[in-house]
Amino acid sequence: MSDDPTGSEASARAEIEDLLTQLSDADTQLTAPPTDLWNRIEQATTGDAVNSDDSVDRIGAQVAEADLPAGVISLDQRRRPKALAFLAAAAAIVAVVGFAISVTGSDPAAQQLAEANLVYDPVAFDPLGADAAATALLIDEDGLLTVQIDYASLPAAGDADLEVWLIEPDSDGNPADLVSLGIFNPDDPSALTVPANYDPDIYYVVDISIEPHDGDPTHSGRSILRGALTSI
Amino acid sequence: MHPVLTLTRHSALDLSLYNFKVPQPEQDIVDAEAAFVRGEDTALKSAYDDHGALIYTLCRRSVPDDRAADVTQEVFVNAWKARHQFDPQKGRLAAWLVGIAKNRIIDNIRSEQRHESRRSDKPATELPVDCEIERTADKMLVAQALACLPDRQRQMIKLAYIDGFTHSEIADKTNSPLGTVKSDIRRGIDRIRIDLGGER
Repeated sequence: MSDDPTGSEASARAEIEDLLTQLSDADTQLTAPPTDLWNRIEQATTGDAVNSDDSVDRIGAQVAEADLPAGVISLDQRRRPKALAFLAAAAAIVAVVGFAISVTGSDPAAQQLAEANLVYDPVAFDPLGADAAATALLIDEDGLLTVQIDYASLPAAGDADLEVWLIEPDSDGNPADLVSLGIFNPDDPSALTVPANYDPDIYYVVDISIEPHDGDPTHSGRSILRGALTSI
Repeated sequence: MHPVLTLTRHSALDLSLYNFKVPQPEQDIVDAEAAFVRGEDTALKSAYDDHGALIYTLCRRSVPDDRAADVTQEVFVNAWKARHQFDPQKGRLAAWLVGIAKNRIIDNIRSEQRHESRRSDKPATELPVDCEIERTADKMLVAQALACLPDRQRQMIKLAYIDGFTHSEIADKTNSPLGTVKSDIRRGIDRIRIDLGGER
């Protein structure tokens, strides 16, 4: 918020006054949702009420980061592919079609769909990742897809962040598109939510990169680990 | 009871079309939002009953009908899983849900643009959807907050900003002191501002 509450309030008031002058009937007439929609929502959230376990709460925190207006990954900052100046470390990627489903031991609602062994490419990747080692799990939490990073070793990023991405490779194994799953904090290794409409069957390469605090929302090109999800 | 208002200047925006439930008392809203944060069994259904039409309508105005229900579902499922992040002190639940919806909608549109680009083998065209969706969402939130104001404040604001009357004209039409008109409008705008997340 502004250090000048009065100025901030005045600005907010002016914006509301402007919006009021533009209201139309379209802004006031609401359409009732389809009758089956509540059932779908209820089904997707069953068992996730007040008695839900800690793992759900951890994932919830990540949903907030990805989705909320004031979250870490604001839409204005949503990282977009620019030059995609990756080398073809994903050339050995194996396509995953139709993830198998297994049930995790700790949370009956969570289903591990796929796993990726993330590896360092000494030719293409940032030297900071030379000793890094981690795996990524794709998990279905009542319809909410998340990626969980389990790591044996990750570098201290210094004045930078570690960021996790899902990449869609082209037929040559080069990145065709990618989406950020968010900042990964090794000290608080929460699961990262896969944004809607990013099908892990298509975006099936997990990448961890070093991202300097430079205001540039695109991938830095400084990958440290990468691997393809394969069904469990 | 305030005087009956006769509107003659402009085609009037009919707030009676606003098919929300009768505005809840403040304490009921506070209690419902606290129950949502606590994750009580019926809280999500209450939130859906109160705000489902708002979110679904926003989605329908932004993405094709066949995807609007899916995006609405994502909004409520994700909101429920992130409910501990909702802070009622920073705005109403409706504004928080709409914030999630804006992001889900934009993700959905961009994803469809990329898929379409791949299907047609043409470069993706990034449409400037963010601002448009932001504007639509903000107007719907303001409309909702307006509809929830006490009758007199709502009518004063409607006369001033939607129908374009001056404060003096409103005072004449409503047979109210000019000071009352000004204070009602100011308080109403402040109520809307707070509902949308402004400082109290």
